Amino acid sequence: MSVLTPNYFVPKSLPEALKIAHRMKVTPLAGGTDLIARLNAGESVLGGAILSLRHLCELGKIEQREGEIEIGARTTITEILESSLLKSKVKVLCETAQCFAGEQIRNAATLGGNLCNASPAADMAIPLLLLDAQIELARWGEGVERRQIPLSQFFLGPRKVAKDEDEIVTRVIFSVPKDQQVIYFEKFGTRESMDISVVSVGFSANLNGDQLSDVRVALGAVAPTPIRQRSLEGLLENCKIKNLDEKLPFVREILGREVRPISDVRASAWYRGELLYKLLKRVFADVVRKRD
Amino acid sequence: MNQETLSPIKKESLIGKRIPKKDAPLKVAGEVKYINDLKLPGMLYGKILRSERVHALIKKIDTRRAEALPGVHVVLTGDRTPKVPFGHGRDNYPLKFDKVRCYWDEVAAVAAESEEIAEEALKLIEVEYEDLPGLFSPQDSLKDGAPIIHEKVSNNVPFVWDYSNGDVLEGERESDHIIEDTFKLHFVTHCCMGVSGVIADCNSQGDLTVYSQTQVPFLYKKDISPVVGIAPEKIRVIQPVLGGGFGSKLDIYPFEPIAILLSKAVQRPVKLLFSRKEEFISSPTRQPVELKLRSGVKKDGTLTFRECTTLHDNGGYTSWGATTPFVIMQTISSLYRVPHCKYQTKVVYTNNPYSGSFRGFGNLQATFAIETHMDKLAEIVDMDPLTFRLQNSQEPGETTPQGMVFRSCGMKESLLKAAQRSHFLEKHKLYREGKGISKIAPEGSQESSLAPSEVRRGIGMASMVHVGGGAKIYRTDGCGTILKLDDYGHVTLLTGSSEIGQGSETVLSQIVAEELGLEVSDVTVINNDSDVKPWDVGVHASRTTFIAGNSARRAALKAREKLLGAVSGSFKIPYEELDLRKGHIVNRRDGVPITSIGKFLRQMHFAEKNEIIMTTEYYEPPSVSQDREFKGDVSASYAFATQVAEISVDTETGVLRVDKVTSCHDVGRVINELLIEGQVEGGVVMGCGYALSENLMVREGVVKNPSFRDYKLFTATEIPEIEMEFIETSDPEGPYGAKGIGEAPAIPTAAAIANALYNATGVRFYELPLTPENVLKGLEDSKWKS
Repeated sequence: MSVLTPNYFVPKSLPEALKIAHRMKVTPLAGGTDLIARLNAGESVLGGAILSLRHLCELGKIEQREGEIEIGARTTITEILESSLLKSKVKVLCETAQCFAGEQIRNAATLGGNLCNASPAADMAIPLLLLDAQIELARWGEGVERRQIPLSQFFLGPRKVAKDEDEIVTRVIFSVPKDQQVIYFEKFGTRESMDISVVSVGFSANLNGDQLSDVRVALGAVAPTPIRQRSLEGLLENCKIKNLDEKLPFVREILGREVRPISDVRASAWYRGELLYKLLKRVFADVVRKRD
Repeated sequence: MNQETLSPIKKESLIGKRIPKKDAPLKVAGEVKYINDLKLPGMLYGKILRSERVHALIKKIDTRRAEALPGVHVVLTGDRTPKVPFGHGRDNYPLKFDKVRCYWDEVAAVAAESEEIAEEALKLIEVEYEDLPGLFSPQDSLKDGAPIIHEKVSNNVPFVWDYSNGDVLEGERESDHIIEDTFKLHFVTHCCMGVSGVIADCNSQGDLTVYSQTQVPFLYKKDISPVVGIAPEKIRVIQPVLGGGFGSKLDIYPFEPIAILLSKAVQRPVKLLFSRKEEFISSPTRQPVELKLRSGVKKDGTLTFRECTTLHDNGGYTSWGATTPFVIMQTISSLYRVPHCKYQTKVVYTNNPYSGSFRGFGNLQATFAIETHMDKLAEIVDMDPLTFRLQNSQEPGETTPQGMVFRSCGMKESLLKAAQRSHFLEKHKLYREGKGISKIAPEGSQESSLAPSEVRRGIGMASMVHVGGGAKIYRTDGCGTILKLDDYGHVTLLTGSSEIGQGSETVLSQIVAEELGLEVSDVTVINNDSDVKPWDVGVHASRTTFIAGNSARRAALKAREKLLGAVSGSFKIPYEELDLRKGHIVNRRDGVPITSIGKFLRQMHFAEKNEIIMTTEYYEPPSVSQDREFKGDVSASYAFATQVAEISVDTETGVLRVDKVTSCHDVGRVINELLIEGQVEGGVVMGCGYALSENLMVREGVVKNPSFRDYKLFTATEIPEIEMEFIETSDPEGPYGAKGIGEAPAIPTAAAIANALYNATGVRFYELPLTPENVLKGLEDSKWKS
């Protein structure tokens, strides 16, 4: 930590927090699992005063309102993992939370923090992209002003998000999945637990009899941000389940052409490409099995 | 004397019992004080400015702005400190003055009121460099015209070692088959839970008290003395509780003399503690080796010769890593009976990180190569891996061509037990025939291209030999003990040896208690102050139970003799009729107590002759130094082991899971079953990490993954089932027959796993680690299915 300890604000309500962010440049702090680690690593990540969001209880709820589920930005990954509402309505979020880092990190890390950190490997982003989630941001103007944007437009690049400096992420909102919708999240780390994704793959589709519709594919750790892969979605839309295996060469081709992962300490581009294809293949095999 | 003590006391031995570690409760409760917790009055905080260059001339260092920062007490550079080299190769300096040779080399140091101020001060130091071309592999360093890293070594080769016995040409002529392969072993590092740190406290009288994590306090005094300009007799080494050693604290590394020099400059205590990142980048590694191995065999399965050349990446400076060939050659010459043997090695300077000593000391690397070859040769002569090894196995009484004498040897038993417990032969045959295959998805359509991927099972074995009775690297391999009995029947054991987490305090207490008829809790161990404890070589070479144990035992026997002698005189009972049991002096035959030890000692103190019981011992093992040809019986005993690894490998992703490791060890004699199990478990896990997940990624000299996020230690989820058996060969020299176990369990694991991977897939791997990516790449490259 620097000698110059910055100002530290601990607002008790959202309006109070927004007013501070409106007045001065702040760095929001939620779980701190990214921010503090980067600070300790000597990175200059503090753009002004630290604004703790920890006491904003209103951002810590998981609720269903009619056909929509709202998750507060300050909800921890453990709270997602243990939510009975999510378990019954959107199990994939619990499954994703289950393979998110280790237990201590899950207890501290928040959904909003995971999304705002905008790591290409952000685990929670993948199922939320599949759910076509909206992200709600608030700022202080004439009182609390809120806006929503699709999560897919929120990520701009590594650690860059479409959020103004005076805005705070408040909620993530998405429609409750339909009964016939299947959603998969497959994470691959080089170790069985306590690991960061080498790649992650999300797949969602409605199973109407023998046919797939509303196909969505999301990929993590293979581009500057978590992404939706629209070409694959197009390829698989209205595909007959029994024909899924015939699509594999095309899947491989699209992945090879359009997805260009980097090589880094976690894996080579080649291996990431192999994994993407094989994880998708496993998802397809499971879809086939489900139909049978 | 009360009624209870009058009833007879049966003779009960503590040897072989499951006795928990003495220090465990305090560690679990968080009450132990590590170097991190220590704070002396008036203490300052030291920080080191490290160079971002890998090879560069230092042109100019300007420290004026740092010195002017309030709270800064001193700023040191290489030019302001004595230029006395240190380290195993005497080629390293606390602060570099002419040039830097490694990433994060030390160029300046600060002592300040707080860590934060010290860090700020570092930012104010300006260094001008002139970059030099870097060398990042031994091959590059050996090229004609390669830049010179140390001016005194114009060919970049500080050490060359050649060993041979017999005549390899003769061996070749006798061979029906000869194989040759190149093995490449990678960088890994110790990952001690406690980071490196030191507190140096120099006073105005020139005395130094250093709170050091060293594993070798007495050698440390001698080695560090000229570097910091303080006479050894003015240096007192206090060893705080260590958060992990594994060999990493066997040499002097720059941060320690830096802290001492800072303290000397300001005559105040200075604490210097690494960050985790510094620990990853600036503490020693296991030495990477490229190993070319040729092996020959006769049709009947008899080994004929081995020829091995190794290239060691020494990094920018020489620490203990450079001497790992001593152990490598033991495995090459003596793990099996091989009549003809030749080993040549070059240790080569590069601008990579430099290596130190690390549990196993070269033997993980050597065993990986040798045991892969044993598997290959077995297949060539159409024998199973077990029978082939048994045929070439060492036996008790063997003197190897390198001069090692196996007075006790449980190698055959370890092979047989490990195979029997793991059903090795049946499984090896089944899996080889492809009968260990299962599918990942339970009911996928087999015909479709969506067919589930194959998970193949495999089983592999590997054996090892390692010193088990110390190693005579210095003119003495001894350890001193002082034993003091007090008038409450309590014993203070002052041992030269150090506790580094291996459990020596517990084992030594057990030995003393055994001889004096006491409980383990009746013994206090003092082992962390060089002004108090007697001399010892240090904690290394799996020597502590053997050497310090023998020393403690002999001191205890002397005390016993003295005590019983006095009792005999006082009670007029013949010496031979006396025994010590449960804190009492008893009649040997019926166990009836005569008096309590405490009471008798009190009587001795107050008796006319006023005597105390205090004994000393210096145990020197009957080993010898190697001669100029590297031959000689360097250890008083040798340990053997065989491990069998059972694995599953997902052939589509390359994920290799170790399902089970069966580890059978010739331990001579079990002294503390619980602790020995702990050593085996820890070793197997470390061996698994070396084999599968750990990899310090060094690219052009720079460590690319200096964090636990990207340096993958094995975690609880991946740890396999570990089954073990201890073979008691009762070594004639070991305490109660015991031999060392500290390093052994980590040594054969990687080799056993690689052999299991071959059994599963038919593909040989010659490089580690076997990460999912490397496994998949290896399988794809070999077009393994065809």
